[in-house]
Amino acid sequence: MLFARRLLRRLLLMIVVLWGVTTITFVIMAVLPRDAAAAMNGPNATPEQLQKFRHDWGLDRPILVQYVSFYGRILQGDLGVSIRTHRPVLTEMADFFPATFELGIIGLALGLLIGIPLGVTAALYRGHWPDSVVRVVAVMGVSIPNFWLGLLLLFVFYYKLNIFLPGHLSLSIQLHRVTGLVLVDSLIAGNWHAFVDALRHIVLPAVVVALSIAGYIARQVRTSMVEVLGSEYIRAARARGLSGRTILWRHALKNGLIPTVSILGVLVGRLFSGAIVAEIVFAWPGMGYNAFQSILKADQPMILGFTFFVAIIYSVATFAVDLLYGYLNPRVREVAA
Amino acid sequence: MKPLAIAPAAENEAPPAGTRPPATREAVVAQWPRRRSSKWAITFRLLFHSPVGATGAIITALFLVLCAVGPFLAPYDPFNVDMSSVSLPPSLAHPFGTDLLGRDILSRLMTGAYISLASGLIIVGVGMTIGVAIGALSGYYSRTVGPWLMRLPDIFLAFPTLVLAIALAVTFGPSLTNALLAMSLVYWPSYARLMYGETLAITQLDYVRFARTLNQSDLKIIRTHVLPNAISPVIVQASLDFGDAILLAAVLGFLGLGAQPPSPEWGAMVAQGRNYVFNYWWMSIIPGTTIFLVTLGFNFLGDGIRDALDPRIRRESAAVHG
Amino acid sequence: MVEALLSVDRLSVAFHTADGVAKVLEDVTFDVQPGRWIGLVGETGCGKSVTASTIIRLQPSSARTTGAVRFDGVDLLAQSDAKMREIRGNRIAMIFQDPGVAINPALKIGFQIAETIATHQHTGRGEARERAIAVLRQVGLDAHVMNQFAHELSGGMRQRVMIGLALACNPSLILADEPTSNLDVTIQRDILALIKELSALHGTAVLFISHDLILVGQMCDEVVVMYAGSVVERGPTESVLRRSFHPYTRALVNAIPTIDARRQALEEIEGSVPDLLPRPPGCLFASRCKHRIEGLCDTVAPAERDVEEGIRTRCHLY
Repeated sequence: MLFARRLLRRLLLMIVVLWGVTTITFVIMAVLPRDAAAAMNGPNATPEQLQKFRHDWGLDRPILVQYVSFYGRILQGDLGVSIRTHRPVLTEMADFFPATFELGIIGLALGLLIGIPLGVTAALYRGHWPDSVVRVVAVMGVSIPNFWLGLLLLFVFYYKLNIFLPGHLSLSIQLHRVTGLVLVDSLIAGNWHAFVDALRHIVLPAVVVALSIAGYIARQVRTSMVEVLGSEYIRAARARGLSGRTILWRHALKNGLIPTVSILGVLVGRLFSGAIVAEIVFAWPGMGYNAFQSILKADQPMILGFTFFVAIIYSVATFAVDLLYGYLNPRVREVAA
Repeated sequence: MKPLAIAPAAENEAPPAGTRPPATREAVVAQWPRRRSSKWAITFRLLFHSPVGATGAIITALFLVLCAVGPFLAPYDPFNVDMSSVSLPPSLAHPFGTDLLGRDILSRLMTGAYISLASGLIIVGVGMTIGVAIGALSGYYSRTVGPWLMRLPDIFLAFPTLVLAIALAVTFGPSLTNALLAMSLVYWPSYARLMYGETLAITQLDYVRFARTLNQSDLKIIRTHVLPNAISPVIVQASLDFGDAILLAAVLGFLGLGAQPPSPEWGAMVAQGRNYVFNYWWMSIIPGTTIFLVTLGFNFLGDGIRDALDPRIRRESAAVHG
Repeated sequence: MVEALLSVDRLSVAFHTADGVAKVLEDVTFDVQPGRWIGLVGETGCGKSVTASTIIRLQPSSARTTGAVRFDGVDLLAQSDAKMREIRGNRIAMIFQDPGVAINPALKIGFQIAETIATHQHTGRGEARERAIAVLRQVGLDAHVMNQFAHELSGGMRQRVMIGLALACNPSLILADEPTSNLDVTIQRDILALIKELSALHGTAVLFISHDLILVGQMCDEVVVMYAGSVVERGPTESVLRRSFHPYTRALVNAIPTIDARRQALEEIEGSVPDLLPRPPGCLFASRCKHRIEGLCDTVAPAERDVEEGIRTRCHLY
């Protein structure tokens, strides 16, 4: 019952935030530029096109009317039309989203795979050299310019060693697009060759994404594990003669990792930032790559659409993570008196 | 009754990487028997007891020196296009090689250093100013506009950092000033939130409520009472953010949204060499390395300072009840 | 004479901290006979909990221990980690002070009890669960508690779970570290009665650690009085409380308010526990003792001597 109330409150908050995101996007689109119509249509637009745009989007009407019509268009899914490709922005976003999603998921998994053991090790050996090493590595991870790292990896693993490749799939591979996630699609098609090829392409960008979050994860895990390992119930478990391994895996980890879920929200934000750069460096055809092309061509509608789209996803993801954390933490679930 | 002043080794803290046996404030101060050192002097000394803090301090110091004297000591003119020396690998004449327009990369690095420093300072400085202002006002008027005003940072924070920075920078137009403005707008919300929390706490305190009853102007109260006390966590956070700010500026530079050519901004330099990284690796890799080292230096320094400021009082251990 | 179940022999523990070495326990000696209740009493910081931790070898890593702790003839301080793990929870068990933090919040109660049983009695999962339910019944809890989490239970129920966890494998010795200090007074009685009943049933010896002399007086057969890491007096409870040879014991006893006493101010013990960093020479109570002998009590540490009625005291007066 109380859980439902929490859920409702979180939902309301998310809606407010989504409204805010829309408003900011509107401000960026209509209020900030000197000539919004020119910005949204590009230098090659004819005066007639500009007039039509101004009329359709109500740019010659009072701000409030503009805002309402903007909102109306958003709710109908009309985010404008790309200057470059002349396709609706929303369609383009939907096309490019799966690739970013795939990269994000793999990057997240890798990041967790690297960060969690590092954090646990640091907590177990707190005060000794592994702890210090992990700490230094975590700071380094946070300091690395991911675009530089990407180029470095490209140089070593592609140019010199030719193990991993940039881009999406080798041109020779034919793959029927079902979900847009190349790893999944190749498995669905039973195409082992395509699967391996996809792996070879996704590894490097995934590593770059993973390394942008691994340090952060390690630090969080270390902090919460140290707290757990110092807790009275762990001491009580030792007083019952349980082995160190049992205590770690069954007693400590569960308590230590749940707080980590709460930072997943922030992680998603960093994932986006990391994925954008990784996509650009490795030419991975996701939303970030698309955004970069749009920057180069001053494709304002696409950039705004991208920003809006990402913010929406981010807000929903944060909300979902919040729910997940509430579910996992039995205390929060009950909201004990 | 005074509790026992004993404790087992502090079990919940990592010492700074590879510290010598615990350097407590007292132990360090004990080494100079008659000097009454200020808090900052002690912090400074403690900093050098940890390799991390020391490394950070050294790198940062070197970087600051570079920013100051770089433009004057550069061996070549960083803007001089010399088509006869195009794309030369590192050599004695050009320790970091030349770029696609024959310009010496070392000279460009030295001249462009201050751009990164200035970017970091401006982003964090402006962000802090806006954030502190909004946060303090919201906290002070916490019963009227405060909570509403604080929805604004929440909304800004709903955008991933880089995404918002890109959107704003593109809208404002690609230039260094616009990019700096965009990045400041990305940084202010977290400072606003911090300031808000601190201000809320301070305004509950009696002496502030008393000042309010004295009919002092609100602005004056905020300036004299609230601000000095509430601002320290914000400053700490800002100093920790400095490294990230430099990195963000470099990313925008890489994306072409920051300083425009021919400005020797480090991120832009990496971008220029990007398509030729296989044949002329030094054009991208070397500027990237300097960005990495500088960011690392600031982050190490921040970590070191944070540890040095940590209250190293002997804590009553919970394990020793009886 | 019955062979002592637990024999703590000249136990000394020093913590090596960055500020110096603190000798937390000095020459602590006492015995626990099978099935008997021994009260370990003293004010906060006197070393009672450190003693308990050291007995089952759960002291902090900075501790240096000398002396012997003989359990069933075997010196626990010399045992390997593996051997100690066999003993903990199995033959010696501990009841913690705050059940709110001493039970894992993320695991079900039943799981935690069954786990202990399965580990030490080498049973299968089903059998362990059966026994766990039996344990819960013994402490007066219903079987459905098996599937609950710690936060769903009241303080008293949690402490019953704590007792259950300790008794699950039928240990011969229980270290009860202030088991009722965090509970409501009304529940204290019930919990103590429960421990008493179960220990009598299984013949379990109990080392009852408390700062509450009244409780110790009611529950324990023998009492060990500690001050600043040393045992100052020990012996049969009734005798020690009645005779109170050591000035500290006497001061503690006198400080107990009684309903039938005439109106008088509660006696205070002046001064405070000395700083153990470093440990001052001589008797540590000297600075607060009304009967202190100048030149002797503050320089020479008194040795333990037998006085009357089986009481042993560490004081220069005897």
